[in-house]
Amino acid sequence: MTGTTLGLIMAAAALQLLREEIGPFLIHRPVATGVLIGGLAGMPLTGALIGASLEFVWIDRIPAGGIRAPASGIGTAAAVIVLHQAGLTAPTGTVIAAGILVALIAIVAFVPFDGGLRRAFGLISERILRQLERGSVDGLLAYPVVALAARWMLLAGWFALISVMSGLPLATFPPIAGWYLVIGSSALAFALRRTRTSERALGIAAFVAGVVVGCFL
Amino acid sequence: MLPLSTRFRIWLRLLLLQSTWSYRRMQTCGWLWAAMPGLSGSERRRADLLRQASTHFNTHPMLAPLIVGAALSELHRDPPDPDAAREHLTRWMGTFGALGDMLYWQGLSWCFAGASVLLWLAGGTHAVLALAAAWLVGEGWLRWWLLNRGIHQPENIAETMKLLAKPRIRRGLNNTGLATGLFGAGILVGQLATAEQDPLIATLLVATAALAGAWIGSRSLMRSAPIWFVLASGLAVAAAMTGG
Repeated sequence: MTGTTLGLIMAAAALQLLREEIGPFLIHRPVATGVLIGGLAGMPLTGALIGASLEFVWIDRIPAGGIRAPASGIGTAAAVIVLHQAGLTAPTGTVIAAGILVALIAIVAFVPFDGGLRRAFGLISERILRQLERGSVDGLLAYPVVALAARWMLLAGWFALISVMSGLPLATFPPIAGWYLVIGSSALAFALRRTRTSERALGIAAFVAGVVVGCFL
Repeated sequence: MLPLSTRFRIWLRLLLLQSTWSYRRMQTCGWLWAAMPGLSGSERRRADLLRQASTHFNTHPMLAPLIVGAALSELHRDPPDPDAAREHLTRWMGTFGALGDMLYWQGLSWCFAGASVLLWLAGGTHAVLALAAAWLVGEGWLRWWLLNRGIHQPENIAETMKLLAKPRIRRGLNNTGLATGLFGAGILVGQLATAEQDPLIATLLVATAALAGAWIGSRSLMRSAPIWFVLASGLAVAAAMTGG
């Protein structure tokens, strides 16, 4: 692993802390992650295309009430790191397809990791709250900061683990034909779930206008 | 009332509200930690106040400063009123959780996604960086404003909720998000489609498939994806046959 990859991993882990632990702020979203981490890796266009592709597939999944939405920002960051380590930086169909595949694997692999982290931190929280019951705030003094640093390191370790996928024969991956249909379908499904006819019409009109603009840009 | 430096520390700590999130306690540890700078007295006294005010807490983190601010104003009174603080937390967390989810995930996240795509196409990496910075400042300011409002006007939480939940604001944000996000998604789809097809054919292909999918009334990804694939495949075959 090179120093650049290590830097990318640390930066990606820090950025993804904005997903939940800090803020949260929307800067962890896949498009921004793709552009920012891709920019650091010298492949902003590839990162942006992968990020933007993943952005609209699950955008209407709301992480509310304990429901875990697919971590598409994490997937985008993992894809950029793996592609960078594999030396695949040009935004060709093969590279984008390989990146999306890596991102999907990373998103699935992140679910048990995230669950394990939450359970582990839950145990520590219980202990600290019991301490508070006994009349001491000692445990609370630095716990969130330490928890944040621990999550950063663990997330970086997870990215490092995922980066072994750069050993896969990614350069031979066939381009995904018709991926744009999955993206469009997901985005439109969001508009179609609106209850008001005017909102559905607005969504469809905006989408079709975007397609026309995108096709002739 | 609480001095500026203390409020700033609370605001900073509230940014880490979810760093200790767990399935059982959710944001409880986070809000207790954030509230600590606002309490005075010995460690024992602070621990007692926090213990008395402590309750299960989980709300939308963007709007949490308002509720925590109101709870803190009760704990900072002379004498402190931990029961009133707990009441603020339990009464408002559900309402603001739902309101925040609606504003954030159905409006702001779509605005951000659409704006990211548009700005990236228009100005590249720097434009997205500028958007990210502006977003941080904007959301940070909103949290600061809410915290101060909670601390200084704890009795006006309902008014703040009404302000944020105004149909004009709620619907305007949602519709802006819908239009921006879908416009951005459309541009991306168009760009990706033209990588595989002639621009005119790609436009017709995607736009027709989109409209057909809409009219058929697909309401979920599982239902709409096959419709898209069938229509697109048919149009792609037609385009290939006509030399497109």
